Amino acid sequence: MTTLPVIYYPPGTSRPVHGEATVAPGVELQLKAGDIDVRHALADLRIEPRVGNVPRRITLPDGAALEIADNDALDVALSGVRRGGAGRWLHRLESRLTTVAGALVLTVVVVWMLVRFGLPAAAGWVARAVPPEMDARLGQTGLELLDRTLLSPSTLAPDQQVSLSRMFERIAGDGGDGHRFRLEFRSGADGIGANALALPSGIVVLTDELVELAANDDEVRAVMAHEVGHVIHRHTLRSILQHSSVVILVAAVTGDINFASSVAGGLPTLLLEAGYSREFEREADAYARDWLSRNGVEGDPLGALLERLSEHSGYGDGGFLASHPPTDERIQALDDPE
Amino acid sequence: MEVETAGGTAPAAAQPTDRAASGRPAGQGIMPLRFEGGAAEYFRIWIVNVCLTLLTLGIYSAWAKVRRNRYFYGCTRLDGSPFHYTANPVAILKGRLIVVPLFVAYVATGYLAPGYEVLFWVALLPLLPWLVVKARRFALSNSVYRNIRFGFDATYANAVPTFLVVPLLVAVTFGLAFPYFDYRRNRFLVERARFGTGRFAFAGRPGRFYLYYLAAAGAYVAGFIVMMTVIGGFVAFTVARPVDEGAAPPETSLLLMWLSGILLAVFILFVIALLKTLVTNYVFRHTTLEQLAFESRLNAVKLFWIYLSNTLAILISVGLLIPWAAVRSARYRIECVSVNAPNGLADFVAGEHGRVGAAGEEIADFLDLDIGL
Repeated sequence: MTTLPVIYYPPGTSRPVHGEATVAPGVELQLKAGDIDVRHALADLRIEPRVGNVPRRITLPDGAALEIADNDALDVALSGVRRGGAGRWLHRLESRLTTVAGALVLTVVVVWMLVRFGLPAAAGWVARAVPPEMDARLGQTGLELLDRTLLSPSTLAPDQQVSLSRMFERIAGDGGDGHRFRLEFRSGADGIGANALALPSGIVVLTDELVELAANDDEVRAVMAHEVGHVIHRHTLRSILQHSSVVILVAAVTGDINFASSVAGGLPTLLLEAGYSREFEREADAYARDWLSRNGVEGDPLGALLERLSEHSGYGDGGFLASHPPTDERIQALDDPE
Repeated sequence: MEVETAGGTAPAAAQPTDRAASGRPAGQGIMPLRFEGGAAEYFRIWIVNVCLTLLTLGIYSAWAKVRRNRYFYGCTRLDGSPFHYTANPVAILKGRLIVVPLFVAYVATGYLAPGYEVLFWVALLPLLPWLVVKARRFALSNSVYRNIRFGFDATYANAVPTFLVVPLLVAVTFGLAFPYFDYRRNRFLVERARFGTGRFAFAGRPGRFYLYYLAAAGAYVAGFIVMMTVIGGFVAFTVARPVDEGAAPPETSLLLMWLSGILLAVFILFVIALLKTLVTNYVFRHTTLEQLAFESRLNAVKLFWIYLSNTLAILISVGLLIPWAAVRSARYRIECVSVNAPNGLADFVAGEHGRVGAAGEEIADFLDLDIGL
């Protein structure tokens, strides 16, 4: 028998009456408050599970309610009752230092595994399930958008364009999946300078500035193979999938979807995405290196071009927020296959 | 327990002046809301929530939301009595199970048919009034204070003028009608709410909302000009000079760009805090519930500091200080509110209520609809 101070609210009113409840474990609760003296079987009561140390509400069958502030005494009184077991188990997890520390360690490990392996693997799996033909729609709209904003018409001589296109066809033909590869020439004078872009449908854009910067055909081939690598590895689709799941992950961790779109939630999202983007660049570099060695190209044309690009524009200094890995590291990776 | 007072000794329960200290409900007059939660206690609840949510692939998130809300409601005290959150996690889970496929479909449309994801927003627009009503009804009908349940009485048709017609007016006037929309939104959310059979009423005027938005816009423009002048002067001083000597340090200008970007973001945060302070205080002061009146004494600088320091603390602690930040901002916002109850809080009578699904609230959460009071 345990007796607890309670605040009793008669059915449907906000008028508090101080009283006390005597609990016969596993059987019934006797309530004395004002001129009330009733007994209720414990099975007829709705007792909130414990959260922290906030007062608990017990609903009586007639619409009256009790508030009990002494959680420890209530737990002792109810210790024989089977119902509400899950709630009690949760409170036990939350109140023991060892389980709280365990939850913390487990959370860190699970988040790290998800970010490092889980999400990329899942995105890769989904991307492989989506047929390459689905990507076709994205190309033309994307190119039109770029033409309106960043790109202007190419000034390369027509015969140079023809020979570059022929070069590209050989590289793209080796990709051998459902993408329809196409090479487009543009000038990057309006801002992006020496650059190459891959659109998911298989359109690869080469800027005049990059063609000029390249010392020989092998360097141009290396860039083309790099861009073809982006398309074949479905990097656009995978980055969209990973972006969406990072947002959901941040929402799940913080328990608040609005948080994922706030400043404090946005920065980790940004960092993770930059990390994924660098991963994609490494994958495309590896594809290019592989193609070059298979086709008997000597030396390291991609590395040479990257180095010149880096001197030329300060591009590739790396850092946390960079979308590409630092140039030295990329050249290093190209030098030591695996 | 006996308590010493000017008039001698009396049982604590009969002492209206001592209600806050003793936690015994007996109060009349002006009573502040108290928040009795603590960061250490909430951290334990939070980390278990996060861990179980991850291990159950998100299923547990519905139970996590209920536990979190029960903690924050239960720690909020008025006249010594806590609030209670009584939502059923299964209802929330069902709501989330509707939202997640919608989000996936939205992302898939964006990829496979770019441009067509606009259709989601077009389809959602007529649903907005329904979402607001459902979300509000779910939240309020699951809030209880002293055995009396809150409620929200509105139908889709009631919400159409405020959440469909006025937003279109905002679009047509290029945003000039936005303060009016904010006024209508607050009026609707207050007037349709009830506590038991007691109805909330709102006596605010749209003119004040225009004044507050104008003040925020003015602060923004003034601050922006000052900041640009200072940065401009700084640039002229540090960067332009070496150019004359033939050496432009690109790192310095990059650093300045970052710095001014961060400064601008911080300043925007201040303007948001200012606007929130002005509007929240005004809405509370013009809300009544039968004979009850409300007061909110948020301070823009304090609120801004809490926003800013919370953001920094969360970033520096890699998220581990999220519970601390949540408790801190809840405590400040809640303890700024007080209730004036000349006849006490005992005379409310329960009203009718039915069960409400949570889909509306979950979608509204996802769209970041700010419909809370």
